[in-house]
Amino acid sequence: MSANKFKAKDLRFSYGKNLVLDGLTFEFQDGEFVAIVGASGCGKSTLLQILAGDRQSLSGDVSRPQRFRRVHQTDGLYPWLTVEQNIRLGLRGAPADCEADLLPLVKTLGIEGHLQHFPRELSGGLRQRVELARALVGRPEALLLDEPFSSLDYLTRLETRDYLAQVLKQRPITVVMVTHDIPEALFFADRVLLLAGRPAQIKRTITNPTRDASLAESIWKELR
Amino acid sequence: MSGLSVVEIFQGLITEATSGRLGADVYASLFRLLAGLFLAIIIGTPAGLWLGHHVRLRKLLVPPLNFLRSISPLAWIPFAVVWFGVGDPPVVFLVFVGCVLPWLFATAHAVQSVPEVYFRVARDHNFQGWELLSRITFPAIAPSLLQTARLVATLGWIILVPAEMLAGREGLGFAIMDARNGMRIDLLIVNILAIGALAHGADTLLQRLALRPEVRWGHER
Repeated sequence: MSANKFKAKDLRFSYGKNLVLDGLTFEFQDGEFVAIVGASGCGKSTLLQILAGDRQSLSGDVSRPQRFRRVHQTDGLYPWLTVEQNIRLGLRGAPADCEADLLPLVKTLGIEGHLQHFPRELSGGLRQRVELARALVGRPEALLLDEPFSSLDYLTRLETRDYLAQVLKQRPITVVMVTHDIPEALFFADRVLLLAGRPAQIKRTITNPTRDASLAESIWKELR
Repeated sequence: MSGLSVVEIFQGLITEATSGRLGADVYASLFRLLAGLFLAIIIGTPAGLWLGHHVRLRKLLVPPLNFLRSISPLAWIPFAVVWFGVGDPPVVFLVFVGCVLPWLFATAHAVQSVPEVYFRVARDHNFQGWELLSRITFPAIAPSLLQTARLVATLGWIILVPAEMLAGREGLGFAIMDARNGMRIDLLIVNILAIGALAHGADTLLQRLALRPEVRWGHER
């Protein structure tokens, strides 16, 4: 398997005797935005952790790009570092010229006035934007988003979503987002994978080139 | 004790200070306390980190360590005197024995309490080995350890005084016993006040350290 794409073949995973994921096969294309949608507790975040290499699958093949970054649901910033120090972590192992991306990126994300602040001094939305900046500043090949907006209130969620859309427009990149928010998935994703059942399987793959929000109802019915 | 005035205590303080005895006792006690705490931290920190990261090891070692922790450090005084005689070594040993396990357990607990996401982010950014320890684990547990340092320092004083009474030849604990033997209640109180002032000073210093932004996040959410 090529090592520069997220791929899985017949992936299975269990917590002890409890089989959580069964027979997942997929391949994500370069520059594609894929949303993995499923109900809470169905194994979405576990799948993301397997893709990131945090967990070993029970069986099956998994490959991943060499340079990928993650945005976590919450608390992914180090509270003892300033915003700038947190973002600069994203430059570790990145090409030297990425340094020049830092200021334009923080301006795009609207955090240029907060570089010397500590995370605890920021709102939840700003903290997620700082995480995005850290994830993107090193020009990774891919981005993994673990329900990045789920801890935010509705308005902040919409605002942060727009920031993400804007920054991805400037820097097209492979993105895998796990979410239980169907409209959010349809807003971003070229392809939506529906994860359902126990153990979870890919119930359906929906191509979504037109960002068709009317699909939400049918997806919701399928996940119920 | 009746009839002892503040003036007499103050005079006792001047006598002890000008004779150099108070300074020598403070120096001896501080040296023993810091040496005991230093050894407890040097040994307790890596052991606590190790224990904090390994579940099986915890299951294996926590029961015997809890057994040892419940024994008063003062119960070791006869052994300390037999092994080390009198003077600095037995007192340093007793402070060490009393402080090492609380420090070890607090370190292990602090490591266990570090959010998993910090280690995930560290892995994503290729932190490994010493760099992971120094730049992620230590800063993450620093607020908790600072609070533990306050408690363990107080514990150190509590152990130091009786240890010096029984196994010391100088120091504030020995001076208290000496004053009692000489029926010098004024000097006894001077030495007690000196211990309180030193312990309070150390605690104030640690509280100030806790206000630094690198650790303040752990106390103010």
